[in-house]
Amino acid sequence: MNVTYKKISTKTSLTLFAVALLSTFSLPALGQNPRLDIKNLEALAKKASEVVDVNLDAPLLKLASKFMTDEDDREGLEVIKNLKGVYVKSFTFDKPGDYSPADVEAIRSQLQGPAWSRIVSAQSKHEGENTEIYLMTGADGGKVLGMAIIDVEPTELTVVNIVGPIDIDKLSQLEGKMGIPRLGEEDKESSQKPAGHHEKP
Amino acid sequence: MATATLDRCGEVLARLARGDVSAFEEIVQAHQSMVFSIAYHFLHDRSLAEEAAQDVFLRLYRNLASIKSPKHLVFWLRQVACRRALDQLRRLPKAPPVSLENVAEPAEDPPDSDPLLSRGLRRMVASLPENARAVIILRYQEELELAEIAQILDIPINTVKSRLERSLEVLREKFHRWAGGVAR
Amino acid sequence: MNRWEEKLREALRRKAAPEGFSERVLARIRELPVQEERPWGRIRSFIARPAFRWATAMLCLVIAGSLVYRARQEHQRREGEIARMQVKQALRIASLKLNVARRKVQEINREIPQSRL
Repeated sequence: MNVTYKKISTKTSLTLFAVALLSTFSLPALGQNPRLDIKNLEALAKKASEVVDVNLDAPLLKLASKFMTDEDDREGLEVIKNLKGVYVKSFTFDKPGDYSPADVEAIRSQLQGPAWSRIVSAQSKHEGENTEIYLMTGADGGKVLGMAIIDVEPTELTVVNIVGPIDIDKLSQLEGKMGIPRLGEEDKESSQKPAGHHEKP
Repeated sequence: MATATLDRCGEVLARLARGDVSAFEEIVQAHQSMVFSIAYHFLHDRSLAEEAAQDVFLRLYRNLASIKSPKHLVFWLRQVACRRALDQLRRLPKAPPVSLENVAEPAEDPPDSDPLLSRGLRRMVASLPENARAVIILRYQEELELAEIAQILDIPINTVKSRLERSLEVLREKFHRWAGGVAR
Repeated sequence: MNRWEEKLREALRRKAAPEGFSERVLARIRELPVQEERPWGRIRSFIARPAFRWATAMLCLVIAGSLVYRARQEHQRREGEIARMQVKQALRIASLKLNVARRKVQEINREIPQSRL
């Protein structure tokens, strides 16, 4: 058997090596980014009567964690421990139809790739409500890399994007802690609006 | 400086501290010879030497608060006299100095055993570089030890030593040329 | 000291100051501006000392440095507090929406077997 070896030039082999290396460090889960682009929603702020806008990247999360020293903050600290970003845009409108489905679709379309999995979809056609929860996991399907929540109601639109290994169970268990009301207690929330919350005059 | 003089100086300083300005005249009279001589041997010009010496005392008057003791006073006067003479020297134009033959010597100075030799030596000292001149003057006029000279001029003691040795060599050479003989 | 040095010593013997030297010095002193003769001239000469000036400069630097540090600390504290409140707000919303969705799913799941029946 004749075996012919084709000599690969140094330049080519270096290029191949670089590509292989970059692939290893490339964006996880087949090139998709757990960070969503939700800038298009900013335009809705003009129409909304209330806006919650939270943009916490890794440095700000680190800073916040230094100040989360109360007993009350302990569990929240546990949740954000290894996160790279927490982004929330929530709008409350005076009447239905103040935002369009196209606004939501622009976000939803980013969650259609193979890296994202929709783990919960709870729709109530009668009430016109829909809540979807997406998770991005690593190539092996194990490690959580990010999370997205899209909550659509007639007069409210909320998008939550969490970048990093979020523990959903721990997040869920925050209910009743850190000032987070248990379901059914929402109406009894304090009227004091924290940072990120803007009420339109 | 004799103990009695130091004590007297201490008394005068104390009076000055109490605001007795007339006590300053006593200080001037006690030290004017030393200050004037340092300036004179440096500059070889009586009027320039007097100007420099007066400046030294004016500065002393302004800085009396910094004088801690009679010993400190003498140290201070020697140091400032050298510096003031050096300043004056540096301001002079680079013309040859006035010949000693034209410089009048005060009558009350005790006569030298060999006036001609003394004049020659003084002229030779005046021709030394300014740093070396200061060492020679403080060593042979004020009869200070090397450590004291180092303190006044604010230089290392080894520098004083090497300047002194070199200056003496230079002076001997000049003297040989001037005298045409061997100095012992 | 050898003979040569003795000659040098003799040549460099102290000279008497010119006649009237001390009077001329005092005359110049009397011509000095009045404030130079006042007692608080001592304070001025003390203040003029390099050591005093250096100490004052260092003190000013230390004070300025600590003021800047404190302002930065205060700024960071405020930013940190705001970030903390925002974290709580974000977690509040996320947790709420998550649990709402889960509850809805649980309700739906409970209904399905009944409808099949």
